[in-house]
Amino acid sequence: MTDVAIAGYATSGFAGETDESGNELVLETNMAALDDAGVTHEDLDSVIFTGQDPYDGAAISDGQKVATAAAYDKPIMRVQNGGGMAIHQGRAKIRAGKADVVTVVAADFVTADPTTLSWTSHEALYHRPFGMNNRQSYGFVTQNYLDETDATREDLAAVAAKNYEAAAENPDAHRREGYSTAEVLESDPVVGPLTELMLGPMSYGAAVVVLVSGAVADELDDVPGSITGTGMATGKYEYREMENRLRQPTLRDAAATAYDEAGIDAADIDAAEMATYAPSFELLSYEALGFCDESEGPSLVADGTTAIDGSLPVNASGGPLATSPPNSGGVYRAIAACQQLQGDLGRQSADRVLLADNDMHLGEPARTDALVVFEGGSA
Amino acid sequence: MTDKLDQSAGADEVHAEYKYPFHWDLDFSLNIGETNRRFFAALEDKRIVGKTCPECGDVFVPPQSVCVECYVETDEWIEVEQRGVLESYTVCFFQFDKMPEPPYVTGVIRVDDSAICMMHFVEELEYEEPMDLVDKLEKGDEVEPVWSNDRDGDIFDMDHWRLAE
Repeated sequence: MTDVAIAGYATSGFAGETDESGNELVLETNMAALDDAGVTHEDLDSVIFTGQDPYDGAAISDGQKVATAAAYDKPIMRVQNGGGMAIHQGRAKIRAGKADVVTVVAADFVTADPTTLSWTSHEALYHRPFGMNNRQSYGFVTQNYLDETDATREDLAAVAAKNYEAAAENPDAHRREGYSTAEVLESDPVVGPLTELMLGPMSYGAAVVVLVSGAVADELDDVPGSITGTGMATGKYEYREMENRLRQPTLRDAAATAYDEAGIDAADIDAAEMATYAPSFELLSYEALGFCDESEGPSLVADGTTAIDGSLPVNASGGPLATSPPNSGGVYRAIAACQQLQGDLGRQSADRVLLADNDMHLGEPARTDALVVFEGGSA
Repeated sequence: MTDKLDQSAGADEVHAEYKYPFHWDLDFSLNIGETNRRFFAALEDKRIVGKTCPECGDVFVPPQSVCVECYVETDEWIEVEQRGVLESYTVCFFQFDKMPEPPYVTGVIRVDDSAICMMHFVEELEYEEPMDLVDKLEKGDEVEPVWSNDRDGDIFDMDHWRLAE
């Protein structure tokens, strides 16, 4: 008996373009997810959309997807901090007894420049006049990371190459060309030490997960996984000391909560999917999540630990450098976590996969981290 | 609402005949509030001011109406030294809307002993190749503002910052 399970999911897969409308993407993916879960639209109690108006080119854009998400006459909610937080909220709704079946629905289908859109989320008087955007914020942190530690640009490139190697085996990934460390280093400089291949593309597609209560899970034939712990934390907006940002205190806090709730520690995690929008964040996250000691992040890449065939695969999906749909990213990463539990993604079997999601596709200030611990079957 | 379309927004991709390009051109006006108004008024006089937390004593430049740590309203205004330290910086190599021609440097600057930082352009750096700029600065470098001759109460009353002499 578990309290909340992932009963099913579906994704369209992601690419650099789509010729489907948002509603076509949502309809096709949502129907597939309900079918995968073994539930009908009549069983559905509530729908959570995850995304942001600027990426949809319309205000209150979730309202336009009510029909295709089977949300008519049901309570809907929109969570703008990403799929991890949406799953956290869906689980809370089920645990509160307000629902037995909840979907989290996301789609990316409007062609626009995500960097410019991220600029609109930044503070108007002191940050936007200097072109502050998501990539600039990654540059500030990454420059500090290189200045404050022994990590090198080659270490950053090795992270990207590791993720591209994994993405090459994932049919749902966007960038599947398998770039090498040298190719990552030689790609065009973008901001600070970061090159084009150290940053994600704009990806299009859709993703839906179906959350169910333990009672419903018990009635279904099989469920891909259960949620045994979650944690969330939000950081400061203004820049203070950069050392604090390198420690990623919100990730540490959210992880501590999720680990405690799941009754585990870092050593119990078999694989992780992380919303790491630049290689520096992946290396720093290894430390923040307890996968290695302080300043030892690069060694986990160098020795192959976090590679797709390593003992702790991180971003076996290819991660955000390979696939970066701003609305759907978190939901897709949750799906990738479940696929690893089922043995459908990666080369390792995994009984427990960590999702470390956040809303940093908009930029690093005031980030919200949302962690989810997934375990196989009805835990 | 709809005006000249920007074809770079992807109208020529996939099946262009099935794309519906549109463009938003919206005007906004933000109420900046008393705290920001006093900061910008001081810039017009070539002064930099901040606010302090009555509990922990932290100084905030730009001024904050609340201390994020103590959650109390800041109360006292002080004028600070026109010197700063680079807490971080980054070189931008891509053209971004309404920004200078790349490459340009944006600094995260801790003014005097402010607990928080402000952002501004760091200029007057000599370089041959764009990538050389990355090595022109270091965290901890001292910087100073260069005032604009044409000041009207906004962040660009400081035209830019430069390495302190």
